[in-house]
Amino acid sequence: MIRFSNVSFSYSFHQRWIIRGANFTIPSGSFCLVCGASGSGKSTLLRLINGLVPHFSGGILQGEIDVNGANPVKAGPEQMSRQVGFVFQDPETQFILDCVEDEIAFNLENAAIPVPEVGQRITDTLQALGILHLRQRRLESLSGGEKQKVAIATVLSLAPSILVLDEPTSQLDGQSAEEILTLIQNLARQRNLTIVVAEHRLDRLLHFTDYLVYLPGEEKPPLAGDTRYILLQMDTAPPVVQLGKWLGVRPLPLSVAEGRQMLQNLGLARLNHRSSTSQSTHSREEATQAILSLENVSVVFGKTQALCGVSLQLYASQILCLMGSNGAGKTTLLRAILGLAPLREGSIRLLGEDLSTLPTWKRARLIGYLPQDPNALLFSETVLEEILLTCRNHALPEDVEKARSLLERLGLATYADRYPRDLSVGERQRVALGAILVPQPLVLLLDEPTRGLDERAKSGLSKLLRDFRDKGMAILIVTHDVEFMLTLTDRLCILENGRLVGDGMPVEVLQTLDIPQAQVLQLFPDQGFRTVEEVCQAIDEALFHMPDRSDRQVSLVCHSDDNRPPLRE
Amino acid sequence: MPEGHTPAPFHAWVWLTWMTTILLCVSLTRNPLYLVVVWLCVAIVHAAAGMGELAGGNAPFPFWLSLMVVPLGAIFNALTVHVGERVIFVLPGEIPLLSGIITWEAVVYGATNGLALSVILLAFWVFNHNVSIPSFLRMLPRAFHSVAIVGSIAITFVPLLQREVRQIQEAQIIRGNNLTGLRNKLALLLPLLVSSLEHAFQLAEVMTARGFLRSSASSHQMLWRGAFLVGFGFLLGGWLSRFWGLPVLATNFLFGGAMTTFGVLIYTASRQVRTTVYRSTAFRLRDALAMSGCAFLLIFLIFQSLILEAPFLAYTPYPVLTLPPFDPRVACLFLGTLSPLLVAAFL
Amino acid sequence: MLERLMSNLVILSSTLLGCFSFLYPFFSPQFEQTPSPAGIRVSEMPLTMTLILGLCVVALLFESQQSAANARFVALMGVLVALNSVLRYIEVAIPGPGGFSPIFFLIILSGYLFGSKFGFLMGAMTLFVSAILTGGVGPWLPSQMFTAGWVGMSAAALSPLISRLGWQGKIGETVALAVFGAFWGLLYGAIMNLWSWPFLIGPSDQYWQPGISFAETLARYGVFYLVTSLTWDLGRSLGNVLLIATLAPVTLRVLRRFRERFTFVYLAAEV
Repeated sequence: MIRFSNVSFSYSFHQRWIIRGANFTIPSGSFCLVCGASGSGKSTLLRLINGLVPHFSGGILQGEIDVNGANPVKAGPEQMSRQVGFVFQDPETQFILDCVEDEIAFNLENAAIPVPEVGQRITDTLQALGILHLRQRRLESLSGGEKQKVAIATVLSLAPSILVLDEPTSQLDGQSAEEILTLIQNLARQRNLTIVVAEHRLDRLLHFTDYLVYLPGEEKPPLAGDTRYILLQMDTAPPVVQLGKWLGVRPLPLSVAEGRQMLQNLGLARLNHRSSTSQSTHSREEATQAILSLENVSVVFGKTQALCGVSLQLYASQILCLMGSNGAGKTTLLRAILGLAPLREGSIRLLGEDLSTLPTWKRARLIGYLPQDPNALLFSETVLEEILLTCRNHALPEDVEKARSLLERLGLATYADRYPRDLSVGERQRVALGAILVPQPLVLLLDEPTRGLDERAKSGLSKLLRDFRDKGMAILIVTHDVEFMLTLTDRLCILENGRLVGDGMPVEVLQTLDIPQAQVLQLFPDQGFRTVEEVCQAIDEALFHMPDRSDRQVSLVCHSDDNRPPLRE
Repeated sequence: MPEGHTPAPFHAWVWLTWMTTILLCVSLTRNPLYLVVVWLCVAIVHAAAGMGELAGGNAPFPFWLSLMVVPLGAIFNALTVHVGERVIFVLPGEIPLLSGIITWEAVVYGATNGLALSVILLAFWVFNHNVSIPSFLRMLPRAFHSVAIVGSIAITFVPLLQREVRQIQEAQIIRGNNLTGLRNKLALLLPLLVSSLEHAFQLAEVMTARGFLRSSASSHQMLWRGAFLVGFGFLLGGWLSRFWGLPVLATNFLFGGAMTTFGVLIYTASRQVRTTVYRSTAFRLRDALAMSGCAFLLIFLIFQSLILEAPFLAYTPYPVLTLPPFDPRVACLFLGTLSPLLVAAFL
Repeated sequence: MLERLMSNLVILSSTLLGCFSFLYPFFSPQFEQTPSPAGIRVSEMPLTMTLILGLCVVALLFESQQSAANARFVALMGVLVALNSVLRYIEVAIPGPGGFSPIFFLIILSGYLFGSKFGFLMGAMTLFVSAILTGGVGPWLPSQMFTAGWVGMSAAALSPLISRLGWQGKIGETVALAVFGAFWGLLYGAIMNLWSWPFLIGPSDQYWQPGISFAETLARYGVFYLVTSLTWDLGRSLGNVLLIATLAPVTLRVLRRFRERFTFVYLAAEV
């Protein structure tokens, strides 16, 4: 078991306490989930378990930590590595060697495992994770999800008793994330491991969690204990849980199945949804001309056809989301619009003009593109410098006032003189956005913008994008995050094998797809709800407009002291 | 070098022995006829390697390039050394170092030298071609564990860097930088550096979490440093013995002493590093056979020429150009270097 | 204290022996007078000298490696070596004027900021890794590693000098580094020539005349150098100056910022 006794930690004397007064015990063999907003100390807490904090990072530590009898602060990460296997966030930066087998062997060699055992351990571990076929493969050629599995194999080969994973799926796409989460659950069932995971995607893991640790941040002590009990005290939660909290149901439903059960018990399985009105205000398609128009676009890379006859129109003041499985061609589409991928046939027009003669760096004035990893964009000394650099590139006058007002719009006014790479993931993304928006483009393309963001950052981004849309920008977002998509999309398109197979209202198109659905949709199929707010609104109306059901609903009204949270803004 | 894990026909140690043998043969003789025999052996093995019989790989190194060194050596020597009896012509005038008699002896000597150099280049090429990068790194003694890991990290990171360069180029383009001109191209270096340093930090964290061990600290360091100094002492002694005209046996003894000291040093240092070594490629019978062909020749030559100083390989064109001696039995000795080819052909 | 002395002794003797093996061809005609029956003297084979140079490199590597005992050093080193090797591809693929080589820029800066051991490893490992990657492992490798390692190791000596002059962060620093780069640009070429020369002229028993003097041998080398490599080396030298002058200030800022995170390296720096 892992015991924290009055643990407080700060990275340096002039910084605040990242963790304050942590006092809890994670039971042996349990599946423990650690959650909290970005910057609330999840990573720090996890690193305290194997001694990376404070040995690797430095800092000031108070209190005692006991990990299965060992003290990580005294022992140090090298010694703790036999007991605690640590898996990091980014699959790209975890490897030293090039071949899967060599990488795992390296770990075992360093632990001085006798040679005859090494081969056997490698085989056993790879088999347990279902990746035996990857044994001789080069790491470079693997996908993100496969790499992460190899990373897990590397630490698992030492047979630790505790497995710690720091946001293992945040850099992965939807499919790979599912695989990893399923893998972790299988490991938990099959082996006698204590698993500690820090994650944002709570919805997939909550029903499986034995012990929940919540970090409120801002120098408040972490809350830890039984899952449902802690959920009641948290600000954010998956939709099913939110609904349960709002309705005042005990015990809280943790999964979709439990949610359905709850709704059935309350007789709320069918609700009227006045959806059509809220949607139509945003679909102005018929009225205006398309800003960006793709006609019969085809792109070929070598022997594979990445895009085949794609025709798409993008209108002003509209947000269009593009979804599809891996390798469907989504990123290729964005790159084709920018001119980074050559067209085999078809044309792309902006405001009626063919773009094929315009080189990419000129298109950047009209079409802004936020790549998957905005870090490649950031290298100036200050945030303000980044904005001014783009001005210089586009041969625009370097107007500091205008730059500052842009930063204001993005909510970065106070960060103008900070070093960009010191900021959090969400803030860095905004700086990158600022850098791209300098020439005030008409179209904005975003490639998987929700990677690595927590709930708060996602809703902030959603609001920002909706603001831009209202001011007339046409926005195209490639994403796999269904819940995010539902908060802001006017139109949803699906790309499969390079072809466009769906284009229309989000909820309708989603139902034709075979991807993990948003929880709200799973609870209320065919009713067109997009968010929990809409559900709550409909329930409200259902209650107030059905006086003859008052006998059953009395109990709900009594629990109204914990309803009406800020969900309803 | 070939990358990755395509199963190689021969173990890396075989090639190391082969190359050492060739290098020793070349160093021990200036007899052009024997050198031609060695060159032919190397060329045959090299051609077989290039055509994929012995290993997979890239296009063969053209022989012609390596042969160019022969006439170059001949000309350089002929023009700068004015010694010998068979004069071709005389360069008149007072040009420093160049004027004087141009002799056949100098030409032959230069050509032989060029031939030796050509063999060296080819031998190294064959080695490079047949030993994959992971095998090469595994050959490094365990005492240099940290250095080998640095090498591995670097080699693994290079393709990632190349990808990063492309990403940064695109990031620049989408910000309106058209990447023309030196200044804009240099602007790629800085983001590359920053992202590399961040990557290094994350990698270091991962390695620490995985228990990358500190190599054993200063327990024996003084001893090792002392041993190095002793080894250097031997080396210096060996050289000084040349200056003082001591018998060659003394020189050989001193150099031998140096080698032994260093060998022991590295061996004991390797034993100190507390990691095990997992080899996924085994040393098979064919490897042993191929290696033994070269190893016998190596030992024989060391014994005869270095220790006993037998003159059968000696030849010099100076002062008068004569026909070099050629003993077919000696030539056959050199054929021992064909053993990898023979083993590959018959096994 | 004693440990430092021993460490410096090893470094000093390796260096001296290495230099000695470079300069040996100049001395040997004067002293090698007794012809041996075998006709070839092992001690003067160019390969022997390369081998001895290799041993010197091994000694210096071993010595530098003592501080490479933890993950941060190794990871930082690995990544910077990779970066430098990629730069070397540029040298091979797009040959600049003469011997322009972009690798010395980072070697000098790393040695300057992170100490002599780091600098040596940076130089030696860059050459080593890029040789492996381009399939260029050859007899020239030990001397390349030795010399490039020395570029890095000597750059560490600039650090106390510049801080005493108070030039840190100012243009004086860039100028000093550029001059250093120019100097080594020429010296590196000269040393590499010294290495390749014996291969071309062969063992010295062609001098059947007893004892050609040192001066004459030197003169021969002078011609060789002028003819083959002065222009090449000027190209390298000027290239270094250009790179350092344009990129050093900004690179130093970035490296200094990261140095704090890798502070172990700074503490372990010993000249």
